[in-house]
Amino acid sequence: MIDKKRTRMTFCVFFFSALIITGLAMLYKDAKGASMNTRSRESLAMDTIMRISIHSAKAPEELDMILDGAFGIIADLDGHLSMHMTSSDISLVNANAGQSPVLVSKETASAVRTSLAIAQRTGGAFDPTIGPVSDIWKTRSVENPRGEVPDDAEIREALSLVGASMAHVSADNRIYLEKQGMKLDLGGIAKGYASGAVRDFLISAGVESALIDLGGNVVVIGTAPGRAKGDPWRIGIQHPYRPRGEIICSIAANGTSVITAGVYERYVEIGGKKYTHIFDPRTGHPVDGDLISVTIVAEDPAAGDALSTAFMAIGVEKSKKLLDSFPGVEAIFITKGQGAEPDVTATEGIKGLIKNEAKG
Amino acid sequence: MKQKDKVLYLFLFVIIAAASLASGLLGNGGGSTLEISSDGHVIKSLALSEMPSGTVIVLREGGGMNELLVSGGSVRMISADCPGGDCLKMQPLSSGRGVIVCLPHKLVIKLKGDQAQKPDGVDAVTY
Repeated sequence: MIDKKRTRMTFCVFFFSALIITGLAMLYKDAKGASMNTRSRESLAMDTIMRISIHSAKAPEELDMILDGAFGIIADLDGHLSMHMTSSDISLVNANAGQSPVLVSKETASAVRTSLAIAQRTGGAFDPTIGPVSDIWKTRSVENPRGEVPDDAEIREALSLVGASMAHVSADNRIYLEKQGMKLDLGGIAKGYASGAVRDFLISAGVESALIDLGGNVVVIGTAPGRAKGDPWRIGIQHPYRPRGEIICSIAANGTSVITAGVYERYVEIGGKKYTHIFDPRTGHPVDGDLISVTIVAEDPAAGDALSTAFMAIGVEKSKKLLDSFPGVEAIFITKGQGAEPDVTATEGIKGLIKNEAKG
Repeated sequence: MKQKDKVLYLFLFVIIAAASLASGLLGNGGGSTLEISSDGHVIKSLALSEMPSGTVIVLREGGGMNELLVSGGSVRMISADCPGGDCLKMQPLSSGRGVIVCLPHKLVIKLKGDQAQKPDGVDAVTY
Protein backbone atom coordinates (compact mmCIF):
# COMPACT_ATOMS: atom_id res chain seq x y z
CA MET A 1 0.00 0.00 0.00
CA ILE A 2 2.71 2.43 1.02
CA ASP A 3 4.67 1.44 -2.05
CA LYS A 4 1.70 2.28 -4.30
CA LYS A 5 1.30 5.70 -2.64
CA ARG A 6 4.99 6.39 -3.07
CA THR A 7 4.77 5.36 -6.70
CA ARG A 8 1.85 7.71 -7.33
CA MET A 9 3.58 10.53 -5.49
CA THR A 10 6.77 10.03 -7.47
CA PHE A 11 4.80 9.93 -10.69
CA CYS A 12 3.06 13.20 -9.80
CA VAL A 13 6.35 14.88 -8.93
CA PHE A 14 7.92 13.84 -12.23
CA PHE A 15 4.80 14.73 -14.22
CA PHE A 16 4.44 18.21 -12.78
CA SER A 17 8.18 18.82 -13.04
CA ALA A 18 7.96 17.99 -16.72
CA LEU A 19 4.98 20.34 -17.09
CA ILE A 20 6.91 23.16 -15.42
CA ILE A 21 9.88 22.61 -17.71
CA THR A 22 7.56 22.59 -20.73
CA GLY A 23 6.14 25.92 -19.58
CA LEU A 24 9.59 27.37 -19.06
CA ALA A 25 10.63 26.19 -22.52
CA MET A 26 7.61 27.95 -24.04
CA LEU A 27 8.46 31.12 -22.15
CA TYR A 28 12.03 30.88 -23.42
CA LYS A 29 10.72 30.45 -26.95
CA ASP A 30 8.60 33.60 -26.53
CA ALA A 31 11.56 35.49 -25.11
CA LYS A 32 13.57 34.50 -28.17
CA GLY A 33 11.04 36.21 -30.37
CA ALA A 34 8.78 33.41 -31.52
CA SER A 35 5.78 35.60 -30.75
CA MET A 36 7.30 38.46 -32.73
CA ASN A 37 6.49 38.96 -36.38
CA THR A 38 9.10 39.88 -38.96
CA ARG A 39 8.62 41.68 -42.22
CA SER A 40 11.42 42.50 -44.66
CA ARG A 41 11.34 44.33 -47.94
CA GLU A 42 13.77 45.79 -50.41
CA SER A 43 13.54 48.22 -53.26
CA LEU A 44 15.73 50.20 -55.62
CA ALA A 45 15.99 53.93 -54.95
CA MET A 46 18.68 56.63 -54.87
CA ASP A 47 20.68 54.51 -57.35
CA THR A 48 21.11 51.70 -54.86
CA ILE A 49 19.35 48.90 -53.02
CA MET A 50 17.29 49.75 -49.95
CA ARG A 51 16.45 47.05 -47.39
CA ILE A 52 14.32 47.35 -44.29
CA SER A 53 13.56 44.55 -41.88
CA ILE A 54 11.20 45.13 -38.95
CA HIS A 55 10.34 42.91 -35.99
CA SER A 56 7.41 43.54 -33.75
CA ALA A 57 4.58 41.97 -31.80
CA LYS A 58 2.21 43.81 -34.14
CA ALA A 59 0.13 41.88 -36.68
CA PRO A 60 1.87 41.07 -39.97
CA GLU A 61 -0.68 43.18 -41.89
CA GLU A 62 0.16 46.18 -39.74
CA LEU A 63 3.88 45.63 -40.30
CA ASP A 64 3.23 45.57 -44.06
CA MET A 65 1.50 48.94 -43.78
CA ILE A 66 4.41 50.31 -41.76
CA LEU A 67 6.83 49.14 -44.46
CA ASP A 68 4.63 50.82 -47.08
CA GLY A 69 5.03 54.04 -45.11
CA ALA A 70 8.80 53.63 -44.74
CA PHE A 71 9.34 53.02 -48.44
CA GLY A 72 6.96 55.88 -49.20
CA ILE A 73 9.28 58.19 -47.21
CA ILE A 74 12.28 56.95 -49.21
CA ALA A 75 10.48 57.47 -52.53
CA ASP A 76 9.41 60.98 -51.51
CA LEU A 77 12.91 61.94 -50.43
CA ASP A 78 14.39 60.47 -53.63
CA GLY A 79 11.91 62.62 -55.57
CA HIS A 80 12.91 65.73 -53.60
CA LEU A 81 16.69 65.28 -53.29
CA SER A 82 17.74 63.70 -56.59
CA MET A 83 19.80 65.86 -58.93
CA HIS A 84 18.94 63.52 -61.83
CA MET A 85 15.15 63.84 -61.73
CA THR A 86 14.29 67.05 -63.58
CA SER A 87 11.23 67.70 -61.41
CA SER A 88 13.03 67.29 -58.06
CA ASP A 89 13.45 70.18 -55.64
CA ILE A 90 17.21 70.02 -56.06
CA SER A 91 17.02 70.12 -59.88
CA LEU A 92 14.71 73.14 -59.70
CA VAL A 93 17.06 74.91 -57.29
CA ASN A 94 20.01 74.17 -59.59
CA ALA A 95 18.11 75.36 -62.67
CA ASN A 96 17.37 78.66 -60.92
CA ALA A 97 20.89 79.23 -59.56
CA GLY A 98 21.86 82.89 -59.75
CA GLN A 99 18.31 83.85 -60.69
CA SER A 100 15.74 83.31 -57.96
CA PRO A 101 15.03 81.43 -54.74
CA VAL A 102 12.97 78.24 -55.10
CA LEU A 103 10.30 77.11 -52.64
CA VAL A 104 11.07 73.52 -51.65
CA SER A 105 9.55 70.88 -49.37
CA LYS A 106 10.37 71.13 -45.68
CA GLU A 107 12.30 67.83 -46.02
CA THR A 108 14.53 69.26 -48.75
CA ALA A 109 15.06 72.45 -46.78
CA SER A 110 15.97 70.43 -43.70
CA ALA A 111 18.41 68.19 -45.61
CA VAL A 112 20.13 71.20 -47.20
CA ARG A 113 20.30 73.03 -43.85
CA THR A 114 21.96 69.98 -42.30
CA SER A 115 24.38 69.76 -45.25
CA LEU A 116 25.36 73.42 -45.01
CA ALA A 117 25.88 73.18 -41.26
CA ILE A 118 28.24 70.21 -41.69
CA ALA A 119 30.04 72.00 -44.52
CA GLN A 120 30.73 74.85 -42.15
CA ARG A 121 31.82 72.58 -39.29
CA THR A 122 34.20 70.59 -41.54
CA GLY A 123 35.80 73.66 -43.10
CA GLY A 124 34.39 72.72 -46.51
CA ALA A 125 35.71 69.14 -46.56
CA PHE A 126 32.09 68.18 -47.11
CA ASP A 127 30.18 70.58 -49.35
CA PRO A 128 26.70 70.05 -50.85
CA THR A 129 27.54 72.54 -53.64
CA ILE A 130 30.13 70.10 -55.05
CA GLY A 131 27.92 69.57 -58.15
CA PRO A 132 30.04 71.49 -60.72
CA VAL A 133 33.17 69.52 -59.73
CA SER A 134 31.55 66.09 -59.86
CA ASP A 135 29.93 67.10 -63.15
CA ILE A 136 33.21 67.80 -64.99
CA TRP A 137 34.70 64.49 -63.85
CA LYS A 138 31.59 62.48 -64.69
CA THR A 139 31.27 64.19 -68.09
CA ARG A 140 34.91 63.34 -68.83
CA SER A 141 34.24 59.69 -68.13
CA VAL A 142 31.47 59.62 -70.75
CA GLU A 143 32.45 62.14 -73.46
CA ASN A 144 36.17 61.78 -73.61
CA PRO A 145 37.63 59.70 -76.43
CA ARG A 146 41.23 60.76 -75.63
CA GLY A 147 40.95 59.90 -71.99
CA GLU A 148 42.07 63.29 -70.64
CA VAL A 149 41.28 64.35 -67.10
CA PRO A 150 39.93 67.88 -66.51
CA ASP A 151 42.74 70.49 -66.71
CA ASP A 152 43.58 73.07 -64.04
CA ALA A 153 41.58 75.85 -65.71
CA GLU A 154 38.44 73.70 -65.82
CA ILE A 155 38.85 72.68 -62.21
CA ARG A 156 39.43 76.32 -61.13
CA GLU A 157 36.28 77.36 -62.96
CA ALA A 158 34.27 74.56 -61.37
CA LEU A 159 35.68 75.40 -57.93
CA SER A 160 34.60 79.05 -58.34
CA LEU A 161 31.03 77.71 -58.22
CA VAL A 162 31.56 75.62 -55.09
CA GLY A 163 31.04 77.06 -51.63
CA ALA A 164 28.46 76.46 -48.94
CA SER A 165 28.55 80.17 -48.04
CA MET A 166 26.97 80.92 -51.42
CA ALA A 167 23.93 78.71 -50.71
CA HIS A 168 21.05 79.98 -48.59
CA VAL A 169 17.97 78.41 -47.04
CA SER A 170 15.34 80.81 -45.72
CA ALA A 171 13.07 80.20 -42.75
CA ASP A 172 10.17 79.72 -45.17
CA ASN A 173 12.00 76.90 -47.00
CA ARG A 174 13.29 78.78 -50.05
CA ILE A 175 16.71 77.83 -51.36
CA TYR A 176 18.88 80.23 -53.33
CA LEU A 177 22.26 79.66 -54.95
CA GLU A 178 24.10 82.93 -55.54
CA LYS A 179 25.84 82.14 -58.85
CA GLN A 180 24.52 80.81 -62.10
CA GLY A 181 26.06 77.38 -62.71
CA MET A 182 26.11 76.42 -59.03
CA LYS A 183 24.73 72.95 -58.35
CA LEU A 184 23.64 71.20 -55.19
CA ASP A 185 24.62 67.52 -55.10
CA LEU A 186 23.33 65.77 -51.98
CA GLY A 187 24.80 62.40 -52.94
CA GLY A 188 27.01 62.56 -49.85
CA ILE A 189 24.15 62.90 -47.39
CA ALA A 190 20.83 61.88 -49.01
CA LYS A 191 20.92 58.20 -47.99
CA GLY A 192 21.96 59.07 -44.45
CA TYR A 193 19.22 61.67 -44.20
CA ALA A 194 16.68 59.17 -45.56
CA SER A 195 17.73 56.46 -43.12
CA GLY A 196 17.27 58.90 -40.23
CA ALA A 197 13.79 59.82 -41.49
CA VAL A 198 12.87 56.13 -41.81
CA ARG A 199 14.19 55.37 -38.33
CA ASP A 200 12.14 58.22 -36.80
CA PHE A 201 9.05 56.98 -38.64
CA LEU A 202 9.50 53.37 -37.50
CA ILE A 203 9.99 54.41 -33.88
CA SER A 204 6.90 56.63 -34.02
CA ALA A 205 4.97 53.67 -35.49
CA GLY A 206 5.89 51.60 -32.44
CA VAL A 207 8.35 49.22 -34.10
CA GLU A 208 10.48 47.64 -31.36
CA SER A 209 13.29 46.27 -33.53
CA ALA A 210 14.48 47.12 -37.03
CA LEU A 211 17.40 47.01 -39.40
CA ILE A 212 17.51 49.78 -41.98
CA ASP A 213 20.10 49.29 -44.71
CA LEU A 214 19.95 51.98 -47.38
CA GLY A 215 22.74 51.13 -49.78
CA GLY A 216 25.15 50.19 -46.98
CA ASN A 217 24.06 53.04 -44.70
CA VAL A 218 22.97 50.94 -41.73
CA VAL A 219 20.76 52.09 -38.85
CA VAL A 220 19.44 49.79 -36.12
CA ILE A 221 16.57 50.03 -33.66
CA GLY A 222 16.19 47.93 -30.52
CA THR A 223 17.55 44.41 -30.19
CA ALA A 224 18.27 41.99 -33.03
CA PRO A 225 15.65 39.22 -33.26
CA GLY A 226 16.60 36.01 -31.48
CA ARG A 227 18.91 37.73 -29.01
CA ALA A 228 18.50 38.69 -25.39
CA LYS A 229 16.99 42.09 -24.75
CA GLY A 230 19.65 44.79 -24.87
CA ASP A 231 22.14 42.71 -26.87
CA PRO A 232 23.58 44.75 -29.74
CA TRP A 233 23.34 44.19 -33.46
CA ARG A 234 26.60 43.31 -35.20
CA ILE A 235 27.43 45.28 -38.32
CA GLY A 236 30.24 44.19 -40.63
CA ILE A 237 32.60 46.68 -42.30
CA GLN A 238 33.27 45.86 -45.95
CA HIS A 239 36.76 44.57 -46.70
CA PRO A 240 38.06 47.03 -49.33
CA TYR A 241 39.99 44.44 -51.35
CA ARG A 242 37.42 41.63 -51.30
CA PRO A 243 34.02 40.99 -52.92
CA ARG A 244 30.95 42.76 -51.61
CA GLY A 245 29.78 41.16 -48.38
CA GLU A 246 33.20 40.05 -47.16
CA ILE A 247 34.13 42.01 -44.08
CA ILE A 248 37.34 43.20 -42.50
CA CYS A 249 35.87 43.73 -39.04
CA SER A 250 32.55 44.17 -37.34
CA ILE A 251 31.14 46.45 -34.68
CA ALA A 252 28.47 46.01 -32.04
CA ALA A 253 25.74 48.59 -32.64
CA ASN A 254 22.95 49.56 -30.30
CA GLY A 255 20.45 52.19 -31.46
CA THR A 256 22.94 53.89 -33.71
CA SER A 257 23.94 54.31 -37.35
CA VAL A 258 27.01 52.79 -39.00
CA ILE A 259 27.88 54.46 -42.28
CA THR A 260 30.86 54.05 -44.60
CA ALA A 261 32.43 56.02 -47.44
CA GLY A 262 35.05 54.18 -49.47
CA VAL A 263 37.10 54.82 -52.58
CA TYR A 264 36.31 51.30 -53.88
CA GLU A 265 32.54 51.58 -53.97
CA ARG A 266 31.89 53.74 -57.03
CA TYR A 267 34.18 55.31 -59.57
CA VAL A 268 34.43 57.21 -62.83
CA GLU A 269 36.63 55.64 -65.51
CA ILE A 270 38.67 57.98 -67.70
CA GLY A 271 41.06 56.61 -70.26
CA GLY A 272 41.00 53.19 -68.63
CA LYS A 273 41.95 54.59 -65.21
CA LYS A 274 39.51 54.50 -62.32
CA TYR A 275 38.96 57.59 -60.18
CA THR A 276 36.88 57.43 -57.00
CA HIS A 277 33.50 59.19 -56.99
CA ILE A 278 34.46 61.07 -53.80
CA PHE A 279 35.77 64.53 -54.65
CA ASP A 280 37.59 66.97 -52.39
CA PRO A 281 35.57 70.22 -52.55
CA ARG A 282 38.73 72.19 -51.72
CA THR A 283 40.90 70.89 -54.58
CA GLY A 284 38.36 69.78 -57.16
CA HIS A 285 40.13 66.42 -57.52
CA PRO A 286 39.09 62.89 -56.51
CA VAL A 287 40.36 62.10 -53.02
CA ASP A 288 43.73 60.40 -53.14
CA GLY A 289 45.80 59.12 -50.26
CA ASP A 290 46.31 56.21 -47.89
CA LEU A 291 42.77 56.32 -46.60
CA ILE A 292 40.61 53.64 -48.26
CA SER A 293 37.42 53.95 -46.25
CA VAL A 294 35.94 55.69 -43.25
CA THR A 295 33.09 54.30 -41.17
CA ILE A 296 31.22 56.68 -38.91
CA VAL A 297 29.24 55.48 -35.90
CA ALA A 298 26.80 58.18 -34.89
CA GLU A 299 23.31 58.64 -33.57
CA ASP A 300 22.47 60.96 -36.49
CA PRO A 301 22.89 59.08 -39.78
CA ALA A 302 22.77 62.25 -41.88
CA ALA A 303 25.77 63.62 -40.01
CA GLY A 304 27.43 60.20 -40.22
CA ASP A 305 27.01 60.08 -43.99
CA ALA A 306 28.37 63.60 -44.53
CA LEU A 307 31.26 63.16 -42.09
CA SER A 308 32.36 59.90 -43.72
CA THR A 309 32.72 61.80 -47.01
CA ALA A 310 34.46 64.77 -45.37
CA PHE A 311 36.95 62.53 -43.56
CA MET A 312 37.92 60.83 -46.81
CA ALA A 313 39.09 64.27 -47.99
CA ILE A 314 41.01 65.37 -44.89
CA GLY A 315 42.68 62.12 -43.81
CA VAL A 316 42.99 60.28 -40.52
CA GLU A 317 44.80 62.73 -38.23
CA LYS A 318 42.75 65.82 -39.10
CA SER A 319 39.58 63.73 -38.88
CA LYS A 320 40.44 62.61 -35.36
CA LYS A 321 40.98 66.23 -34.31
CA LEU A 322 37.72 67.29 -35.95
CA LEU A 323 35.86 64.57 -34.06
CA ASP A 324 36.52 66.51 -30.84
CA SER A 325 33.84 68.94 -32.02
CA PHE A 326 31.35 66.12 -32.70
CA PRO A 327 30.64 64.54 -29.30
CA GLY A 328 29.31 60.97 -29.45
CA VAL A 329 30.58 60.44 -32.99
CA GLU A 330 33.18 57.70 -33.48
CA ALA A 331 35.11 56.49 -36.53
CA ILE A 332 36.87 53.48 -38.01
CA PHE A 333 39.62 54.26 -40.53
CA ILE A 334 40.86 51.69 -43.04
CA THR A 335 44.17 52.63 -44.59
CA LYS A 336 46.66 51.04 -46.94
CA GLY A 337 48.84 48.76 -44.86
CA GLN A 338 52.47 47.70 -45.16
CA GLY A 339 51.48 44.16 -46.15
CA ALA A 340 48.71 42.70 -48.26
CA GLU A 341 46.02 43.56 -45.71
CA PRO A 342 44.85 47.10 -44.96
CA ASP A 343 45.19 48.57 -41.48
CA VAL A 344 42.17 49.17 -39.28
CA THR A 345 42.20 51.87 -36.61
CA ALA A 346 39.30 53.04 -34.50
CA THR A 347 38.69 55.96 -32.18
CA GLU A 348 38.86 55.30 -28.44
CA GLY A 349 35.11 55.28 -27.80
CA ILE A 350 34.45 52.19 -29.94
CA LYS A 351 37.66 50.18 -29.68
CA GLY A 352 35.99 47.73 -27.29
CA LEU A 353 33.07 47.15 -29.67
CA ILE A 354 35.14 46.04 -32.65
CA LYS A 355 35.88 42.49 -33.66
CA ASN A 356 38.57 42.07 -36.27
CA GLU A 357 37.97 39.46 -38.95
CA ALA A 358 40.95 39.89 -41.29
CA LYS A 359 43.91 37.64 -40.67
CA GLY A 360 47.38 38.98 -41.34
CA MET B 1 8.60 2.15 -6.07
CA LYS B 2 10.72 -0.41 -7.77
CA GLN B 3 14.07 0.50 -9.24
CA LYS B 4 12.91 -0.13 -12.84
CA ASP B 5 9.86 2.16 -12.30
CA LYS B 6 12.20 4.93 -11.19
CA VAL B 7 14.27 4.46 -14.29
CA LEU B 8 11.15 4.52 -16.47
CA TYR B 9 9.84 7.74 -14.89
CA LEU B 10 13.24 9.37 -15.12
CA PHE B 11 13.42 8.36 -18.78
CA LEU B 12 9.96 9.84 -19.49
CA PHE B 13 10.90 13.00 -17.63
CA VAL B 14 14.09 13.46 -19.63
CA ILE B 15 12.27 12.81 -22.93
CA ILE B 16 9.53 15.38 -22.20
CA ALA B 17 12.03 17.97 -20.99
CA ALA B 18 14.33 17.47 -23.95
CA ALA B 19 11.45 17.70 -26.44
CA SER B 20 10.20 20.88 -24.83
CA LEU B 21 13.59 22.55 -24.85
CA ALA B 22 14.23 21.45 -28.42
CA SER B 23 11.00 23.05 -29.59
CA GLY B 24 12.15 26.32 -28.06
CA LEU B 25 15.67 26.21 -29.31
CA LEU B 26 15.46 24.84 -32.81
CA GLY B 27 14.46 26.87 -35.84
CA ASN B 28 13.67 25.90 -39.39
CA GLY B 29 16.55 24.86 -41.62
CA GLY B 30 16.82 24.89 -45.39
CA GLY B 31 19.17 25.17 -48.35
CA SER B 32 20.01 28.21 -50.48
CA THR B 33 17.31 29.66 -52.67
CA LEU B 34 18.03 31.92 -55.63
CA GLU B 35 15.58 34.80 -55.40
CA ILE B 36 15.09 37.17 -58.31
CA SER B 37 13.12 40.38 -57.86
CA SER B 38 11.97 42.83 -60.50
CA ASP B 39 10.92 46.32 -59.46
CA GLY B 40 10.51 45.18 -55.86
CA HIS B 41 8.49 42.02 -56.61
CA VAL B 42 9.85 38.49 -56.39
CA ILE B 43 9.45 36.93 -59.85
CA LYS B 44 11.45 33.74 -59.35
CA SER B 45 12.45 31.69 -56.33
CA LEU B 46 14.57 28.66 -57.25
CA ALA B 47 16.27 26.03 -55.09
CA LEU B 48 19.98 26.21 -55.94
CA SER B 49 20.48 22.52 -55.20
CA GLU B 50 17.93 21.58 -57.88
CA MET B 51 19.69 23.46 -60.69
CA PRO B 52 22.49 21.57 -62.43
CA SER B 53 25.80 23.33 -63.01
CA GLY B 54 25.67 25.14 -66.35
CA THR B 55 22.03 26.23 -66.05
CA VAL B 56 21.42 29.58 -67.75
CA ILE B 57 18.51 31.68 -66.52
CA VAL B 58 17.28 34.24 -69.05
CA LEU B 59 15.48 37.25 -67.63
CA ARG B 60 13.49 39.69 -69.75
CA GLU B 61 12.54 42.39 -67.28
CA GLY B 62 12.63 46.17 -67.11
CA GLY B 63 12.71 46.51 -70.88
CA GLY B 64 15.94 44.54 -71.27
CA MET B 65 17.61 41.16 -71.07
CA ASN B 66 19.96 39.59 -68.49
CA GLU B 67 21.42 36.10 -68.33
CA LEU B 68 22.53 34.33 -65.14
CA LEU B 69 24.76 31.27 -65.05
CA VAL B 70 24.53 28.73 -62.24
CA SER B 71 27.87 27.00 -61.84
CA GLY B 72 29.40 25.01 -58.99
CA GLY B 73 26.96 26.32 -56.37
CA SER B 74 27.46 29.95 -57.37
CA VAL B 75 25.50 32.33 -59.57
CA ARG B 76 26.86 35.10 -61.79
CA MET B 77 25.62 37.49 -64.43
CA ILE B 78 27.09 36.54 -67.81
CA SER B 79 25.17 38.76 -70.20
CA ALA B 80 23.15 41.97 -70.03
CA ASP B 81 22.07 44.62 -72.51
CA CYS B 82 21.83 47.41 -69.93
CA PRO B 83 23.83 50.61 -70.46
CA GLY B 84 27.10 50.45 -68.50
CA GLY B 85 26.87 46.73 -67.75
CA ASP B 86 27.70 47.29 -64.07
CA CYS B 87 25.85 44.07 -63.14
CA LEU B 88 28.36 42.09 -65.20
CA LYS B 89 31.20 43.41 -62.99
CA MET B 90 29.59 42.23 -59.76
CA GLN B 91 31.00 39.29 -57.85
CA PRO B 92 29.26 35.90 -58.18
CA LEU B 93 26.82 34.95 -55.45
CA SER B 94 27.80 32.02 -53.29
CA SER B 95 27.23 30.85 -49.72
CA GLY B 96 24.58 33.50 -49.26
CA ARG B 97 27.05 36.33 -49.85
CA GLY B 98 26.30 39.56 -51.66
CA VAL B 99 23.72 40.59 -54.14
CA ILE B 100 23.70 41.31 -57.86
CA VAL B 101 21.79 44.41 -58.88
CA CYS B 102 20.95 45.66 -62.37
CA LEU B 103 19.63 49.15 -61.74
CA PRO B 104 18.54 49.95 -65.34
CA HIS B 105 16.44 46.78 -65.46
CA LYS B 106 15.38 47.09 -61.79
CA LEU B 107 16.58 43.55 -61.02
CA VAL B 108 17.84 42.28 -57.67
CA ILE B 109 19.33 38.78 -57.52
CA LYS B 110 20.36 37.16 -54.25
CA LEU B 111 20.81 33.86 -52.52
CA LYS B 112 18.62 33.26 -49.52
CA GLY B 113 19.41 30.61 -46.94
CA ASP B 114 20.04 30.09 -43.25
CA GLN B 115 22.91 32.54 -43.26
CA ALA B 116 21.98 34.43 -46.42
CA GLN B 117 22.88 38.10 -46.31
CA LYS B 118 24.57 37.54 -42.94
CA PRO B 119 28.20 36.87 -43.79
CA ASP B 120 30.36 35.92 -40.85
CA GLY B 121 27.40 36.10 -38.50
CA VAL B 122 26.78 39.83 -38.87
CA ASP B 123 23.36 41.38 -39.33
CA ALA B 124 24.33 43.74 -42.15
CA VAL B 125 27.39 45.08 -43.92
CA THR B 126 28.19 48.76 -44.32
CA TYR B 127 30.06 49.69 -47.49
